[in-house]
Amino acid sequence: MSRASLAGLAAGAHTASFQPGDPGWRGGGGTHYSAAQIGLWVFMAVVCSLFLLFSVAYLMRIGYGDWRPAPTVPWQLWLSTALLAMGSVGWHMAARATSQQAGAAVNASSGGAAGATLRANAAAAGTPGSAATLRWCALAWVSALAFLASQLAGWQVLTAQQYLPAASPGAGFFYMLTALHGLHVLGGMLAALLVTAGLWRRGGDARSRAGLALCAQYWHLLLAVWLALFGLLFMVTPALVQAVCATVGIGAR
Amino acid sequence: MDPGSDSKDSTAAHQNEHDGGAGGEGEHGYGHEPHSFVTRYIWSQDHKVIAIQYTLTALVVGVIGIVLSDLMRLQLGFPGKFQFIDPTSYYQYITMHGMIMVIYLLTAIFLGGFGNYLIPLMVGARDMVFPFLNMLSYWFYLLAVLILIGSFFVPGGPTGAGWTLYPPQAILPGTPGVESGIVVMLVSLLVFIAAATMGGLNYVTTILQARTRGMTLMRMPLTVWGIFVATILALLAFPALFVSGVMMLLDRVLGTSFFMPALVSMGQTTGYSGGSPLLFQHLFWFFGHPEVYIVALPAFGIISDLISVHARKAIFGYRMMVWAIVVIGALSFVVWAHHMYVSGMHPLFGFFFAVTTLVIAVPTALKVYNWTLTLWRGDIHMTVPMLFALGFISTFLIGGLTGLFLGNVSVDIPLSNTYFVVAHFHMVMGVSPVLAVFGGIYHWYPKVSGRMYHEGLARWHFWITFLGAYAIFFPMHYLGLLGMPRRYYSYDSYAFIPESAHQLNAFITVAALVVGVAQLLFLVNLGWSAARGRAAGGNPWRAVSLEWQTPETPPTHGNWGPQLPVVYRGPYAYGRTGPEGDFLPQNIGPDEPDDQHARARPTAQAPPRRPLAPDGGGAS
Repeated sequence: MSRASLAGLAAGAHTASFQPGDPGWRGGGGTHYSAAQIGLWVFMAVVCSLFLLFSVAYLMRIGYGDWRPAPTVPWQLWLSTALLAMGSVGWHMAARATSQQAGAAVNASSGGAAGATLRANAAAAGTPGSAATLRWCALAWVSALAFLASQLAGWQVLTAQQYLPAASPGAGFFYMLTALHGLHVLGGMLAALLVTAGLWRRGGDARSRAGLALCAQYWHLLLAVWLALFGLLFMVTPALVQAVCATVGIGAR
Repeated sequence: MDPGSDSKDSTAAHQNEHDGGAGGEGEHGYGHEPHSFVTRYIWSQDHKVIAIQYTLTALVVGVIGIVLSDLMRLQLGFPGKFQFIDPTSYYQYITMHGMIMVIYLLTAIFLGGFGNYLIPLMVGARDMVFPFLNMLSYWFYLLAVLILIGSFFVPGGPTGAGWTLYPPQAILPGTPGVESGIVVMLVSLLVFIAAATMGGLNYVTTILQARTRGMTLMRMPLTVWGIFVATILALLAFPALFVSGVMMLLDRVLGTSFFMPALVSMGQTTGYSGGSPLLFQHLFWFFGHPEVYIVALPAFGIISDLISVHARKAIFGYRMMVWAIVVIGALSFVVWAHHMYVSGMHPLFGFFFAVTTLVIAVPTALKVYNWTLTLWRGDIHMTVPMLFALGFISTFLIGGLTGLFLGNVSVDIPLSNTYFVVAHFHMVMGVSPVLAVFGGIYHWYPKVSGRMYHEGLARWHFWITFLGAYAIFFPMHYLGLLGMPRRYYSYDSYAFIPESAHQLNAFITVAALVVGVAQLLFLVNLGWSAARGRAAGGNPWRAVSLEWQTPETPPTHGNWGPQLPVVYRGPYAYGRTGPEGDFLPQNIGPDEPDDQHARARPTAQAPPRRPLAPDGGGAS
């Protein structure tokens, strides 16, 4: 068989433009995105599907008679929102800082020998990423941890007001959705740990850059999901849902 | 670039880069090499080993599922003769049988078993793109299975709520397993969903990113297409099961009232208030119906490949087959409420869901026609995989036709909750996918083990299973039309059920026992042939697709030796003159246009296809 394959390869020589080793053919017939990037997009679709279905369940449940209005928003949740946004900015800027660093190194390298030295320095194993990258990473980490703490503090405020999971359907949704969102933040932190460790070990190489960009994307999603949940839990009222349903012709329950 | 220089510089200089997407880095470019027995067979990251782990685990739970069904049948065929089958255990058998067969056997074996083994080999990759995640997926699946089996040993036993786990009864006293069985079941499902998601990310990303050169999406075997679309369905539909599972778990454990209405149970007022059982049904079936296609689409793909190989003919209408898979996948998300006609809904919704349900018959029928047209004037070899493929067409056709009855609201209402429904879904998503599983296992067994299965045992296995399945489920249609309700423990003292129905039940039970025992032929065959079967060679079926062109059989770690294959044509080039007979393997040049008519035209006016450009990975 292998002989036949080789013969086949020879016969197919005119199609040399897709022979192994061509740039742009990384991963074979795939796109030029990395597998991790595609994987993250698919995962983000799953996460969106999950929270979307929770939201649909919320909107279907809201019409029943035992629904109680949501309590006033504890200030901790506003703080959480700001912290999550900071994390999102942190990862984004960290990714940008590494790209700029790499870009500068490449530009410098095309300049001549001095540039090559610079590039070698930047890529040398054991060199942590630039100070700016590390600062932004630190900001992202601190805000992620503070976000979780702030969410827990928000829980405490509400439980102190006897707003317990079984107290009303809205309360059940609040704890369930914030907990699941928190779990997704924790999962993101696990991945970020690997990326940060890589950055520390190998410096701002291509892999770290890609990893930081993925972290940033995921944190943007976490922020978007949180904003949607925040709005859903505290701003959507049964009256609003009924008004919307009436407008599109679905009879109120 | 001439091929000589290609083989030199490509492998050395670019292998690492090329394989970066296929499993990290390593000495040989494709990483995670096994170094010991443990890393080779237990904590393995090789897709082939993980596939075998998935398959064997699924077969073991499948055996449990069969035993449970036979226990049910003992009660139904010979009521009261077996003292240990009381109503409680009967309901537990029903529930566990359904859940095991649908989720832990069929979903796992199609995606985790066939998907893992075949995707990288069929698209010409060295492995899945995230091998570690792939390993984790299997171990989460095993954990889910162990938790599920653990529910047999918890106080009160497993849940007896039926596989649909409808609240409020699933978590109210009086239902078997309400103490802890239901909690264990829900936890097991949540773990399974995590496993399926990890696997699914891998399958989708591998298909999108790790196809070898020349392997455009429209040159992928239909098996890969079926698994690909089924995986997307799984990724988008399992969250609905997750949502309903989490909410029910909270209703049971924390006393929330997502699904639980205010009610009095056994004279006691429960703490629940105002929840909506209908909400659960919507969520459950938003998962439940795509689930039907999660097991059907891979089966469609496998059957297409089996028919084409063993009839020595290109699949009829490849493009149509692909689009049918995609359309069926999309439609499967808008038919869920046909499981809920008797739950009550606005008549317009009933009309909408009846229409979508019947529309799905169009792409499905296209597939059946195309299989038939592939067989038409084919050089049909009645091999064991072909027998199973033909069996599949027959059972799927019967099951599909009764689906047309049940898809209509007015016909469904009297038939709902009768044995007609049991007969329908067993034919269409029980027997048919299982026949595809068997056919697929026999077909790829020589590649997986390097040896041929025992022909005689396999034929006996087919005929007993195929005829037995008809003997079991065909009479159930009649019982359903008589009005025999499903889910009943016993049918004493119902005037409308005649004595003949009881005799029929006894007959069905005998058939079910025979079919159950006959599966030993299959298991024995797998084991015996792995050790004693005759050597099969690399490509015993003279098949075109890539998995049969590996340099080693069984394929070794990394699948392809130093160099990845290059693909020059689609996966169904049969009836052509090739170096080894009436077929042209996908990896033998020169490059061909995918359009059959263009190839058939002797003048070949059409300019040669543009060489596959880096962005040519899409449908072209």
